Order: sequence, then structure tokens, then C-alpha cells
Amino acid sequence: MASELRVNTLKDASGNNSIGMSYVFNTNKAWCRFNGTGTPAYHDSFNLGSITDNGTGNYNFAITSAMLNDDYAKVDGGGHYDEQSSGDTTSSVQIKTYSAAVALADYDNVTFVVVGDLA
Amino acid sequence: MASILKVDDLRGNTAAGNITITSEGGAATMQLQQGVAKAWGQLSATGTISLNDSFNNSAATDVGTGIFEFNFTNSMNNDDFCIQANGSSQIQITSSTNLSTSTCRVLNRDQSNSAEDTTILSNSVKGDLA
Repeated sequence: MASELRVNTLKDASGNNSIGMSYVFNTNKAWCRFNGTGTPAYHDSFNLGSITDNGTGNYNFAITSAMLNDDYAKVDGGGHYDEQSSGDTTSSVQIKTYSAAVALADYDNVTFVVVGDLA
Repeated sequence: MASILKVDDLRGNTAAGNITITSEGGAATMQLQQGVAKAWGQLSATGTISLNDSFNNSAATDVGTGIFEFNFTNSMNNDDFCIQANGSSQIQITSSTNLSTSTCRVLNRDQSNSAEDTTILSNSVKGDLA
């Protein structure tokens, strides 16, 4: 049978290492590592759906369980990318990957995470 | 009234590895385990390297100039995990040949795309634990 626990704070059994539930809730809401070469595909992902290939180095990722607003933090894996994009919505996040010469380019092993409030 | 739960081990009731939390907006639920970072670390990455602070990273290895490998204490379920890393320059996550369930490797490169050591390098790993 499913069970539900309502609580404000978690501590270990000794009463130490207290953590408020707000910290628990502020986990990553979506993440992935994907291959942007050829037909874009995930290595692995969480809370992300279909990938739209907008052209070289330009992708949109559907967010399966939508965000509450478009004010979330999108953090990339460093390296080739990214820019904070005006193409981010509650249900889609846009990633652009660039070469060292600042030209759009496709890469493998591109990662990003989304942190914020789910709807 | 505020409530405090004292516990050492949290497990799902139906499935041990699946605890559901309700979204901030109340319209959705998500699996807690999937959202939690599985490893992170801050590395002093010049000279003799050392982990300043970390979680689930047992050691870091200086593989060569600008190349650092992190060893996980608890292994990942596969090598498809998601890494974010930041140093003083560009960061590249090495190809899957250098990622395993027990290690991940990152490269710090300067603006000319040459390997470069960095004062501080941070990383964070998301994915499935074994």
C-alpha cells in the first residue's frame, strides 16, 4: 500500500545532520547527457522527452513534467556551450553548442541540468 | 505545526529505490532519487592536487596537464551519467571511453583549446547509482 509522510525537517536517528525539506525539494528537476551529432539522442536523461534538432548546434528538449515558470536555472556542462536562451519555456529548454571559434557546432557528451520549481 | 523526522535510512515503501515528492506547484510528482546529485567535489587542481570537499568521490587523480579523474565511492549503474564541471577555462568531458561506472574524467582547456591546469575545478554528477 502506498504511504505518505508529511514532515518539515529530516534528521538522522541521533537527532543530528538536520536538513529542511526545502533542500530536498530543490533537487535537479531535469538532466541529461546527449549526443548532438547525427540524429540527436540521449545517453541518459531525467524528466526530458523528445529532442528537436533546430540545425547545427541548436536543440530544443521537451520537459516531460513541466516547470512552474520559465525562471529556472539551466546549467550546462561547460566547454563548448551554451548561452542563456530566450527559447526556454516551462515545457521546453533550448541548448546551443559552439566551437572555440564561436560557431554553432554539433558535439557528443553534451550535458545540462535544470533546477527550479516544477508546476 | 512543524514536524521533524529522525531517521538514518529513507526507502520507498512499494520499491526501495523510489521515493516520490510532490512538486512546488502541487501539480506533479517526481522521483526524489533521480533529482539528487550522486557525486560532487571541489578540487585544488594545481601542483599536488587535493579534494577540498566532496561527496561520493573517494579520490582524484592528476592524469596529466589539465586532465583530472574522479573515483566514485559508490559506483554508478552505467556510464551514461550526466556531468557538469567548471574550472578557470573551458571544460570538456572526455569521451565515453574515459567514463566508467567508477570514474569520470574531465579536461580543463584554455581559450586556445590547449590543456591547462586550474586553481579550482568543481564537478557534479547526476544519474543512476548501482
